[in-house]
Amino acid sequence: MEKIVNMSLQNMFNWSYYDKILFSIAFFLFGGFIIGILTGVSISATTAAGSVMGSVFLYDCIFRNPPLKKR
Amino acid sequence: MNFLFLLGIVIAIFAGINIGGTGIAPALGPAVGSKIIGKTKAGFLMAIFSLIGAILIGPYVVETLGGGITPSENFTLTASLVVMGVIGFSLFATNLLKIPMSTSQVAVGSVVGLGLFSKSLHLDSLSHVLFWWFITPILSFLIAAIIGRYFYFSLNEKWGFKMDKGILGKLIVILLGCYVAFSIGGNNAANAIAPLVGTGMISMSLGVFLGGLMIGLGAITIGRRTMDTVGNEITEISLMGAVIVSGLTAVIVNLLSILGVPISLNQVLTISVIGLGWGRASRAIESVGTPKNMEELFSDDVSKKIMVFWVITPVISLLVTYFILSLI
Repeated sequence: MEKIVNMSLQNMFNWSYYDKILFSIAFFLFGGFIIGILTGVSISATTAAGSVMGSVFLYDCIFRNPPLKKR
Repeated sequence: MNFLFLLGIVIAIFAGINIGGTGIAPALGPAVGSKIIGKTKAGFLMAIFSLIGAILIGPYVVETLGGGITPSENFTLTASLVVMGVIGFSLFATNLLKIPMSTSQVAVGSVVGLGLFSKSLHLDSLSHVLFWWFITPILSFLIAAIIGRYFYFSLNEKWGFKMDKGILGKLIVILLGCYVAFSIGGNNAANAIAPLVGTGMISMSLGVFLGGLMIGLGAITIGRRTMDTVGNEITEISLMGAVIVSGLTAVIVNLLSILGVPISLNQVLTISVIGLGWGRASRAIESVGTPKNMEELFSDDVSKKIMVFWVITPVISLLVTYFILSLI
């Protein structure tokens, strides 16, 4: 049992570059949206700000580190 | 009823037919390509569903283009003709010179040009459109990439081979095609008729009806030919991929239409194809052994092209519209 837990924990944190980059894009996109809801600052402003952050990661995963050769 | 008004109607018909003729490829291309239905049936399905889409959803986008970004008082007959002329010419250029311009982007740029010229631009409406233009590509890529990376393999394993054989699979492909057709009608009918509705010379309901009808006419007439010739990203991927991508695209475009945002279905579709390919490639590259032909799954050239054109198309159409309006 302990072994299984350890393994799944390891998997959970054993993210590759691609997992991390998708998570980051989603994090900033939805993070901006949620901050807008929670703080009462305009939702479109916070979501746009989050998307600007997200687009940096998007740029990285499409143009700088595309999945074209082994990392 | 005068000559200028008739000219407006003619340009609207030309634009509508063009939108339908090119729109049928992303909508029913997968169904025709996998020989589930023939071209004639595809044309009629496209005609029916784009008309329904135009009538039900169309008015939201017409409101943005024909009175949201700039007040409808600015749509004098002459101004509307200039806007429609720019849209019509861009369709002409897209078809003949193979420049990948999106009609929606040309339309927005041109209407903004009219707003600047008339010195009355509703910034809140414009920023609403720009906001969604910025969010949509990121969101489409993200969702498609997540599907491509985490779900595509098992989905394809389970359903991929049955897609064009079983009744259920065929039905899904056809229904999704109809839904894409519905979304095209809902969003793009406005490109053909919004400036005319803005003049107040035809009513909203007559406008969207005519727009939808012309899109259908285009699908039935020139659609047969464009389905063969228009290069389309969706025809180059697997049927399973096509189903995922068209479903995702149609939902996104449909939601944006309800928000009144004119958007290019073809570009959302292409970005989703890129996202799905990126996700699949990112998975394939981690598999044991060096995968071959990674470029078949993903290439960054198309992404660059889309980004560049998405920025310059509205700007150019804005400048051209402004310039022409200053001359007359």
